[in-house]
Amino acid sequence: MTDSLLSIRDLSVRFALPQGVGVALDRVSFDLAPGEVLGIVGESGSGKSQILFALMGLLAANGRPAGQALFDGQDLLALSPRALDQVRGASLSMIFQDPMTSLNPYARVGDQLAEGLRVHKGFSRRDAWDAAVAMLDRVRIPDAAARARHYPHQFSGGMRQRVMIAMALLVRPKLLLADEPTTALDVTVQAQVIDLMAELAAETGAATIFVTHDLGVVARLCDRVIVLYGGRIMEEGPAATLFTTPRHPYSIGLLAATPRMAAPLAPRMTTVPGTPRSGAGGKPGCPFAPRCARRIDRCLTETPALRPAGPAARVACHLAEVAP
Amino acid sequence: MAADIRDSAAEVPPDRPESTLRLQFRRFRQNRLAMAGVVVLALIVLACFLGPYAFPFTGQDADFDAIGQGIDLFSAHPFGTDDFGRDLLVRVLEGGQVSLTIGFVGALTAGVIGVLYGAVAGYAGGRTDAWMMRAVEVLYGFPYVILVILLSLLLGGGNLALFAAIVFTLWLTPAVIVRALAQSLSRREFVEAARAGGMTATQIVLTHIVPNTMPVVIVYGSLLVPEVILAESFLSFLGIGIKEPQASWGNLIQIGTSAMSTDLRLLMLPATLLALVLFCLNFIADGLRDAFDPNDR
Amino acid sequence: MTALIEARRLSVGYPIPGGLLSRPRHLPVVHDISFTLDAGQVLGIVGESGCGKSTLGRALLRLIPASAGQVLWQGQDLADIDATTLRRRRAEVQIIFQDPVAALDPRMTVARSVSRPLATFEPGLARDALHDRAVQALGLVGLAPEFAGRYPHELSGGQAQRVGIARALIGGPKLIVCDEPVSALDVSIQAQVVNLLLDLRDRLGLGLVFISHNLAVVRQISDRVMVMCLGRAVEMAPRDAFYAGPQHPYSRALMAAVPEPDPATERARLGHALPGELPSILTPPPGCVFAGRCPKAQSLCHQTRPDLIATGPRAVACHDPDR
Repeated sequence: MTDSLLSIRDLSVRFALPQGVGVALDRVSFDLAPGEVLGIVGESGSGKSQILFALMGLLAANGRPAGQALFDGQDLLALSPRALDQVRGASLSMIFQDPMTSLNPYARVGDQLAEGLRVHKGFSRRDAWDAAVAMLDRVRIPDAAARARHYPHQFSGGMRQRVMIAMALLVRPKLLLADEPTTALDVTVQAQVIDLMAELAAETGAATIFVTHDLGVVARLCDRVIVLYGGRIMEEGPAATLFTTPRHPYSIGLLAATPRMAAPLAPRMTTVPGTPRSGAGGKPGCPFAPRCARRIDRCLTETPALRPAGPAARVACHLAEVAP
Repeated sequence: MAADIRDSAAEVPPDRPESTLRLQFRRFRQNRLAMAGVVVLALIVLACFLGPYAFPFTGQDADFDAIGQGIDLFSAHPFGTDDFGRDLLVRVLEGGQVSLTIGFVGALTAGVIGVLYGAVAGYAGGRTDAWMMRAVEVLYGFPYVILVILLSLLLGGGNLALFAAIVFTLWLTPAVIVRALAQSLSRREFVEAARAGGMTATQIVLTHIVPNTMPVVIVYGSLLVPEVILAESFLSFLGIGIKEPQASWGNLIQIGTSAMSTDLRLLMLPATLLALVLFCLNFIADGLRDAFDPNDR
Repeated sequence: MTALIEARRLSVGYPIPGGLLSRPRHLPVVHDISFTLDAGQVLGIVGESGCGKSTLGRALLRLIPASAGQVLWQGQDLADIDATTLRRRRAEVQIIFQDPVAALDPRMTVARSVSRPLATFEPGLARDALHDRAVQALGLVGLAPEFAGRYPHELSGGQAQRVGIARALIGGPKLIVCDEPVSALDVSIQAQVVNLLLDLRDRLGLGLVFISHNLAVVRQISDRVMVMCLGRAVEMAPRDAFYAGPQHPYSRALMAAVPEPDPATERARLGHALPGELPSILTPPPGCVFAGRCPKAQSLCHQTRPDLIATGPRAVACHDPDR
């Protein structure tokens, strides 16, 4: 699509390990429109976080990305570290799972916020500080002017995560990457943070990629969903339809295995048998086939391609092509 | 459902990669400097313990025909003799036996004492830990040489007393290191699980805490050996260690130093060997540390 | 019939060491908890971080001593049992942990970890016998005998948790305290482990105390639910009644906050999250612990802490509970 903000084509990530090469991502392709909120759902070993790390140039030393990631006209994967630095923190921001380790414990919160504006947008010290305090207030940190002078350890977990969000959105990025930002939070605090992110995304017009294992969070926040397994996209579609009519056996299994508050109770939970494998991508055949109850022989030998299946939806499953 | 459980039973664990220990030793073997250190050290140890048998005389035998002879590689005394006619090479090798033995055995003893002390203090916590570590801090405060002299005198002088004195001063640092490690290990869930499984504190310390400190202890232990050797050498150099006529690298270096202006030979041989051993041990320790480093996965 | 386990006005606290100028203090973490549990029943304990549920779980096994109140195992007060007898009786009440891989000694094989408790509970068994018992326990939790020789770092989260369950089962317990057993596991694996626990409850007549912050999972496995907030029980009810109609405002808030994989429901909830955060456990408020965030809070709520009042099988600690 020509009006995409982000265009990922055949993104692969390989890791050099003592026992060979591990494939964390295997030719992942998708687009993101400006202002869109995309959720990437996967379990451990799906490679979901590696997508974000590859875009930000934060892969581990033994990780090698391949493919193309067009952002605002530039291929992020082909940029020099210096050029990437100018994009990162200015039009591309990221927030992480653990607010404890993502903030510098030795710097005041206000300074950490202001730094982005001074470095990337050329604000003066005074202006940057004022903007930082205003942002802290916007993310509902009580008594923002005084709190800006505090250090990270003086904030609670939920507040630290808000500070992270403030830091990421203060520079008005075009794209916000979020790697499981609410996983470590209490459920009532998580709800607050999600509300905040939805508000700010709408306000600043930033597109968001929200990586998580929690289907419920995706349902609350995201416009579109990508389901990832074993480094490949299994299914992609609008949140409204993917949750109600999932097409891929993995999506179906995942939704069935997620406990609900109101659905009728069965004596046992529905499960997806077997264990997710990590780094096992890159081999021919569907990565989910070993655990799929509906697999046919073709599933083990031929990797299913991601094909359209309904409006704005795609599925990678041999069986989905047969049934309408 | 039963089918669910059987599915997992059917799921056999994937082909095992190397066990941790094998992986770690493979990484160690890949470290050229460390392996070179192992080889050279092994050669030196062999030379010290077996070498003297190649000669018809010992390091105490005085050859009055060849007093003060210089280096003559093809003579009966390849590296010459000292002022008493004793073969220098054999004396250095015999000195090596003493220094290396004290080094390894001393390090082992200091290590065992330190590990047990630190593990108990770290696991016990609270006031026991506080008092135990206070004792350590007090001992740390003593001037090292004075402590050794005092202990030597208390224990009646002699080599055993020297050994005990060195060990007594060197167990402190392993204790402190292991205590910190034991504290963090004690908070881990598998220690809680052990308590829930009815294990006594002694059992937990010996079965769970101590073995899990091994990677750090091994690395530190390999640094402890040169420390002990140096300690003995230093004390012998000062004249309060191994006494004549028995040779150790320390007192040989001391003799060599006094004769430095006239005859460098007496100094160079033991000093070179000591330096080589220390280098090897340090390379080995580096290699062990890199191999065991859990962050380096 | 004597209950399997009973907590009577149980309170647990931690001593805070004094400094140079201050005296040692006592930090209460769990206040005045009472409940009974019979064989084959599951009690779900729900709450957010800092509510004391994990501390309560450990106090039930006397891994942490109680500072007030009692814990009774089949009618006998734990505090009355001497240390040696207590160690052996631990075979009856076991625990599984949140981080399954960290709950295993990284230097021990699976078989050794699983069979080690037997050295205390059934001393004198030969090494072969121990290994056989370990393999047997592994079979109970659905792991092939090949797992016996593996090390924890070779296991997935779900497999490691099964090993932890096998270790808990090996002494033939009557009750297992499950401290957030599935929180660290993938969703597809959570269901497997929950089903395993339900199977074991049915086959072995086990009682379970299932501690979790996830209301949806607790619903799948519990017969009764207890909601904790800042160390106190604010509501207790049978499972169906609780989920059909929670009475305490905090329970309602928790339920509304749990994200459901249903876009229609979730979009409606967007923007309505409960503001504020719970007070710190170091400075508990004088009145109701939830008063600061409660949408229905009145001045009475800020001044007087409501007691846990029972009506029939349900109990709630609120001046104005929803009905």
